[in-house]
Amino acid sequence: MRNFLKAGILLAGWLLIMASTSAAELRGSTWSSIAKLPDWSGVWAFSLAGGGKEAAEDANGKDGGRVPLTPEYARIRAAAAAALAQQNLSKCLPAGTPGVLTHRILFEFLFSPGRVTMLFEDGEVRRIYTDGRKHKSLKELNQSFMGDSIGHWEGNTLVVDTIGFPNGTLWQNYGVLATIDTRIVERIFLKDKGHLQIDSTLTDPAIFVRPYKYSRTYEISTLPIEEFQCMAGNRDTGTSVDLTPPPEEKRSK
Amino acid sequence: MRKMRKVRIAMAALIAQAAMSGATWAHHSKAMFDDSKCLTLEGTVRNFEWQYPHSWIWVVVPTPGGGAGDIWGFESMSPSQLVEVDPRWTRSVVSVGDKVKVKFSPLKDGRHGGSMNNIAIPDGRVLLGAPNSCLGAAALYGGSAASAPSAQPPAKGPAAKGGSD
Repeated sequence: MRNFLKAGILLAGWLLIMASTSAAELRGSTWSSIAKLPDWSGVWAFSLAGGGKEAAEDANGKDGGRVPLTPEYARIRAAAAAALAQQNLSKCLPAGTPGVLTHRILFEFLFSPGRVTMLFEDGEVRRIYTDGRKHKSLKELNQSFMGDSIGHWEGNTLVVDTIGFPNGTLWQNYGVLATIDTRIVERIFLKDKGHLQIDSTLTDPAIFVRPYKYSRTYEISTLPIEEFQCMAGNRDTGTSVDLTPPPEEKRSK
Repeated sequence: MRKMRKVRIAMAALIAQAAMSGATWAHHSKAMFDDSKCLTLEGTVRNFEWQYPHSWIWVVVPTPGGGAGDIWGFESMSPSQLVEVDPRWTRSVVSVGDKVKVKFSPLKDGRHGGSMNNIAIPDGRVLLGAPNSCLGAAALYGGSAASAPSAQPPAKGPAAKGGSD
């Protein structure tokens, strides 16, 4: 009996040590481990050379079959492209995941213990948890634009699994929304000095007949990110523009 | 400095190509503008709204026979995009009272507004506003912009005084 008790105490102690060790070893979970992560500081910008052309073609249907859409979603995309529809941004709503990364919206990263945060020029925020947590079930998750992003580091690559973004746009323009079943897995890494690459794989049985995969690269921008007040200055009325002139300004010179 | 200028020129070219390829750098649909048309107007700057998601320049255009003139509104890209084209924009590059010449694709509904392809400012520079306008007229910046067809506004267009919409 005494031996059994000893073994139990030893086992509990070992489990405790293992648990604390694994938490400490989880990359990015402490300030000291963050210092060893790759340097992604700076402002990043999507460009035509980084896949902007392909992103536009994927959105407007001129992709040559690159996007493995189901027949229903092929029709939805064609209708959206014909109408030049942009469901989110033109209403000053977030583009969400993954659409915000297919538009030339500047963004930057913040690393803090257990979390990588992406801050987008238009005010969107994406929180990627690297603290070892798991997704809640889809029933429990709030359905959002950005989704629930869980990440972990594989070497210098951040691997992010995201679910729960039925309000997110698949592309920035000609908006087609994700569904509650859409999942995206991204591998984010420095391609070279000044270029960040994101390899994405989207799955959704309603939208895709097989996984939709693409790579996009982002370049360092010299621009600072400034306040982007979409609602305050938006003249888009959905189908046209508000042409009410502002109060007349005095001549400044 | 020369390198920065090259970067800006390259950026302008990329934005123009993006417009041609269908990539929209604009925040909203361009469906309300008739990109197959490219008109030119001259007037005096009334307001310059350097703002997100789009900058707007308001110009008073003289009306035949005198009077206060018509107010026209022209949309262009956002400040963070305009600062990357060459010649580069700044918040003070256009001032109230400036005499300007604007090339634009008009609103389809005939009101006094449009998507501004470019603007000629008093010092002679021509600033790119929204490269994905005037596409139908093949008037992309760096392309055949100078030879794009121009037109005066309809002599009896809707009065814009006091606003519309």
